[in-house]
Order: sequence, then C-alpha cells, then structure tokens
Amino acid sequence: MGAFVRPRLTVGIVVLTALLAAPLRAAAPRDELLRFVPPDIGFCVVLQGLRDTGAALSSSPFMEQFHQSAAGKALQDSKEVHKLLGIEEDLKKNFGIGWDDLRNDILGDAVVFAYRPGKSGEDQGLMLIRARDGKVLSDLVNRFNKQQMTDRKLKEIKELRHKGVVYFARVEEETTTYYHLRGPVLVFSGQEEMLQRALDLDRDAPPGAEPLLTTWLRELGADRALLAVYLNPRALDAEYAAKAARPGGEFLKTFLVYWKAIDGMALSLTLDRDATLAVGVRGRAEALPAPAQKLFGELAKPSDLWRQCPDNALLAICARIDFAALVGVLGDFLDPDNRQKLSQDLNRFLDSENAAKRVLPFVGPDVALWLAAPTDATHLIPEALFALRTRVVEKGDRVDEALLDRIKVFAELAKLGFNQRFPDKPLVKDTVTIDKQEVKFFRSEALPVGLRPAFALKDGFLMLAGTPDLVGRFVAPPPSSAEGPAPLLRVSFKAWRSYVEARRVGLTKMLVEKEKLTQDEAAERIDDVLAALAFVDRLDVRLQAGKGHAVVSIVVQTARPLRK
Amino acid sequence: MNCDACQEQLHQTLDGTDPADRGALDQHLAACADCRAYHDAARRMQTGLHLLRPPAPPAGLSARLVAALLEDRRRARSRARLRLVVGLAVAACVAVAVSLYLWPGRPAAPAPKGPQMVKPTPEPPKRVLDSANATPRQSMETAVEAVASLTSRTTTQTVQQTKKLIPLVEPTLPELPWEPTVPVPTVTLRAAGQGVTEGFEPVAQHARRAVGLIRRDLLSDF
Repeated sequence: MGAFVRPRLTVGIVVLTALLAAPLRAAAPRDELLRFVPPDIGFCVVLQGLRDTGAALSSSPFMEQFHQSAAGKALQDSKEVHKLLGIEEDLKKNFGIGWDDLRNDILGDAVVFAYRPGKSGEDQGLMLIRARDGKVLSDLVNRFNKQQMTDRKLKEIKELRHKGVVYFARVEEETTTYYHLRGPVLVFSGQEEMLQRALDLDRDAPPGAEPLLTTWLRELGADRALLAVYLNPRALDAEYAAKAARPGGEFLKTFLVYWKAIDGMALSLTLDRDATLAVGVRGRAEALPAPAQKLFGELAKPSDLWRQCPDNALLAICARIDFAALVGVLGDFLDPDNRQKLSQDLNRFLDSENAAKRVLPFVGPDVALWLAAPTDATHLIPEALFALRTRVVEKGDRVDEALLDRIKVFAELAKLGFNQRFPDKPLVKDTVTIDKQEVKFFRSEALPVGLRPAFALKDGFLMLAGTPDLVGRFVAPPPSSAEGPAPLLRVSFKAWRSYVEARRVGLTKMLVEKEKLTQDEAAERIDDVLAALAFVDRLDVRLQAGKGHAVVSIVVQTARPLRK
Repeated sequence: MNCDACQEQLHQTLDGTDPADRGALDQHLAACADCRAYHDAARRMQTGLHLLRPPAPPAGLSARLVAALLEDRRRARSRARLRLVVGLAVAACVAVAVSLYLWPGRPAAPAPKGPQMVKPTPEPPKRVLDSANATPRQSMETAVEAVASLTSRTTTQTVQQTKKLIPLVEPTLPELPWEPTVPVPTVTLRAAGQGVTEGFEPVAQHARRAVGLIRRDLLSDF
C-alpha cells in the first residue's frame, strides 16, 4: 500500500527510463529463455516486457480515464483487490519482496512456460524466469527454500550435475522438482529429464543464435507481444493419427489434411497504442485442399465494398468470399449424410438443380453487411444494408435475376404471414424508381418507424436494405486489385455512443414500453450502456496473409490511448 | 390456342399433369402478355408452395424428445464455449487491471462524475490473512482465490452490461405467426461447426493438461 503514495516524479522517471531502455533490450530476455525450450514442445507460453508495458499503461491516458470511472473505482474498492494488497505483507515477511518487486525485478523481463505432451501421466513441463537482477532472484529462491525447509514441506536440497552443469533437486514428501539457476535465469521443471534436456539445448546452441521459437513467433507477428501462446501441431500428430485410425475416426482423416498443412499457431496479445489480440497460423497453403486454398486466397484480399461503407457505420462486415469454395470447405467438415443434406438444402434455397455449380460460382466474391445510425434522428432502428456482388450470365441464364426472383418468393411468404397477424395494418408491396433503378419495398404501419424493407438489383449487386433510399445511395465500387491486410469486420463504439446519446429520449421511452421499466430505471440503463461504451472507440478484425502464414487480428482501439 | 384453353392447360400443369400440347402453349405464352403474367404468377406460387412444409403427421414423441435433448446439449455446449471465451477475455482484462492497480504511483481515483457502470462494493478494506500464521502456500491460495473471484464477478458484470445494450439495438419487430419455411442450411452449418470443434478437441485436452501440469508441478511448490 505504501507504494501508492510514492511521489509521481519518481514514477515518471522510472517509467521514462523503462520506456527509453526498452528498445535497446528488445527481445533479449525472452531469447535467453527460449534457447532452453525444446522444439518438440506442444505449447509454449511467453510473457515478456511486463514491467515496461505495465509502466507505460499505468501512466497512459486510458488508465487515467479508467481510474476516474465508476468501474475503476469499483475495482479499486473491491474486496479482492484488498485481499491481494493484504497478501503483500505476507510476501514481504516470508520472502522479503512485495508485489512491485515481484513484478519489476522477478517477472518483469520474461517468463516462459513450456509443455511437452507425453503418454498419460508423463507430460513434461518447464518454467523459466529471466529476472532483472540475478541477486534478487537468487535471494528469493534461497528464502523460498529456507521457508519450505522451516515448514517441513521440503525434506532436502541436493546439488546435482549434468555434463558439468550444476542443478538442484528439491526433495519433498511425495515429489521431487528440479531447478537450475544461472545469474538472472531460473530454469525449473518437475521432470529431471526435461531439465537436463533444456540444459543440453542451451549448451549446444551457438552463442547469439536466435532460438527457433523466436523465429516462429516472429513469422506470426507475435515476437513483440506481451503474451504469446504458441502451439506446435507436430507434437500432437501421433495422437491425431491414432484417433483417426480408430473406428468412427473417418472425419478426423479429413481434418488431418488441414492439420498437417499447419506448421504452427500462435495466439498473442500486444498492447501498444491499441490492444491487439491475434491468431497466427504458419503453414503450407499448397498442402490444403483446393477449395480451402481458393477460399483463404480470396478472403485475404480486401473487399472493394469497404470503400462504400460509411465511416460512421455502427457495424460493418465486408469480405471477399468464394462461396463455391466455402461450400467445399464446409463439406470437408461434414459426414457424407450431412454433406448431401447441405447440397440439397442449398439447391432448394437457391431453386437450382445444382447450386454449387450453376449458381455459387456466379455469386460474390464481394459481400457486405453494415448498420449505420439513421440520418433522421427521430428514427430509432439503425439503417441496415446487405450487398452481394453477382456475376451475370451463365449460358444465357441470369443468375442475378434468378436470385432476385427467390427474394421475391421469400418476401411474398413473409408478407402472407405478416398480414395474417396484422390484417388492419397490412404489409404493402410497392415499387419506387431511384436513378432509373427499380426498387421493391414493403411498408406497413405495424413496422417500426423508418423501416421499409427493400430489395433490388443494382450495378451488379443484389441488395437488401432497411429502406429504398439506402439502395439509391449505394454506388457500386469499381473492381480493384488492392492487396495488403484485408479488413473483415469493424465495430465503431464511438458511433454507438453518438447513436445512443442522440436518441436518448426515444430509446428511454422504448425501454419503458419494451422492458416494462420505470422512467428512472430506463434512464439508468441508458447511462450504464453509455458508461460501458466510454472506454472503447473501435474494434477491427483483419486478415493478413503472406507466403506461408496468415494472421487474424482483433484490434481494439480504446477511447484514450494505452500509451502516452 | 386461345386464352381460356391456355389457362386450362396451366391449371392442369399446376395439378401435376403435363400439358397436352406443350408447343401450342409455349407459342401462346410468347404472344400473350396477360397469359404470360398469369403463368409467371402461377410458377412463383408453385415455387412458394414447394418451400412450404408438406403436411405430415406429427413426428414421433421419442424422435422429438431426442432432438430436443440434443438441441439442449448443443446449446449448453455453445453457452459453455461462450462463457469460456468471455471468461478468458475478461480474465485477461482483469489480470491487466489488477496488475495496474497494484502498480506504484497510480493516481488516486476521484469520485465518479459520470454515470455509474458498476456499483462499488461498500466493504471496507481489511486484512484477510493473519500474517503471523499464514504460510506462503496459504498466501498464494488466497491470491489465486481473489483473482478468480474478481474474474468471475467482472465477467458477470460485463455480460450484464452487454445484455443491457441488446434491447436498444434490437428492432421491435412484430412476431410472425408462421415458422420460417426457407430451407436455410443452418443444421448442416452447425454440424460443420461441430466438426471443427471435434477436430480441435485433442488441442483443448492438451491445453487442459498443460494447465494442470503447471498447477501441479510448477506452482504447487508455492
């Protein structure tokens, strides 16, 4: 608790020093640990730069906003945080360090956990710590051992050697664990063989050579991440093969085709100005089935429709999807019966004898769905638009018109049902011509104000929209050959805030009616929603693909930066 | 062929009988806009009728029960997966938040001016362990419990906050009295999703084993 009252100036100097020093030390502490990790591990968790990232975050505008918020105050006052603060005294008493020292001096540079799967009960684990100060680490280990000896949890500590390298066995009542301490590096394992193997790897690695795991993480853009979890698929190959060979394992044989094309996967969290959660896959695209190659190849290209998407869209999804390839990939993950059913359902849905060949190749690849705040502030329902590019001709048949006919059929069915329920306010089909373009739409007094579902074919796109005006405003983008990261999804919390604030009165009234709340309860709920939306401006999902790798990133842009 | 004969032929077609003279019918349709419109309308209606569920006796009780049970299990699994994903995401946020709250030199939190997102816990700070008797293991267990409790509570609150947003953006559309009859292949898509989940099950198993190993071999000493 005493740490909280330290002068801000001191903290500022520490933070500045840490930030300036960070680039110089870059990845070194992590690499000092990864050189011990065998390449045949199944999982490897890497936590690095906790001290520097934490220092930058704690002085960031975002944290200032969070500290001042009710949510921040509630967290600060929570009993759990008080418990954690209380434990600090025990830490200091037993080990001579507090939370700050533990985080800064022991865990602040790099921590690694590695897991190697074995037959049941023979899994192996490795924990590595690269402390800032070797003496602090050594003191902590000694105090820890001493404390456990006093508590009689530890029976004895034996000094052992492996090819001349000293390590220790901690003999307990039922188990024995092993560790090696060298300067600021601690290597710890529950299995002696694992520890010895780690020592061998360290000894045999050329000085200064980049560890294999670092290379793999870098290829997946996870080498700078605060937290990264690496999965090595090869460590699980034998288990997959055994399961696929069992009766009923036919499905896994197909799955294995995809699995074997993957050389590595990483989940990572990076905190810079924004927070980025990324899933990276390293592999050989050519080893994937043809539909998967086509699907992922197309998905990795940015959709032209992003250029038409309103900047203030509440939610936008735009992608390039090869629908025929998508059905092929889905089929790979279905049993024969379901695969046939998928084909039959598609044929019925699209009214075709063979939709996969006669319709889907002429649909897409550009497809988009977005929601935006209505231009009329009195309307509560967001404006929605769905657009699907259609290629026109296949042996004289108009695929686009055939799709529009299907929409008409579904619309008539919907109208039938609607009018049974609301005979006094029937749904009426109407047509409007906008820019020489015929747009069909429905209207009814029973629909929410501003909602007039519309559909049309426009400039090579099949469109469904919340109002005919939206179809009129849509301008088909010219095809481009843009490369680079493909944005897939965008949520603008900033736009949501504006949307809710501008319609506070209407939304409150709607909540009162819909949720049976009092006026005050409804107003409080709107306040809660606005408070929750206050921290984040935007969320983006992107796909970046290169030779031999693909990374899907979820980028969260906070309302105030995570770094100064 | 005149219009009456044409419409008679169309009725026969709708009844499932092939027209007696297909050539004459096509010829008349090509020449007569009214009959062509009538024919198109009839064709659309026929297509629509094909989409409607054919009348059938109620499905057997056992089949329905099995389907309902399977659906329940699927939904439970989906909910569990959602809880896991949300829990992990919130857990990461909580870990960062806790870490930062414990960071030296944090600014004091003034009373909130804006709307309250989470009601502060009124409980006053207090020591939870007797330092004189607490062993390192007890301290560690208490710390883990505190983080787990904080994670669980924050997850619940986050989910509650998110739920509050839903009524604001969900259009108040009238409920339709008919069930969707459009054959959208959701069942098979769900099966594909399950296939992928099953494929990754060994990965999930090993992830659980890895966590168990870390807790058992590496952290139990604390």
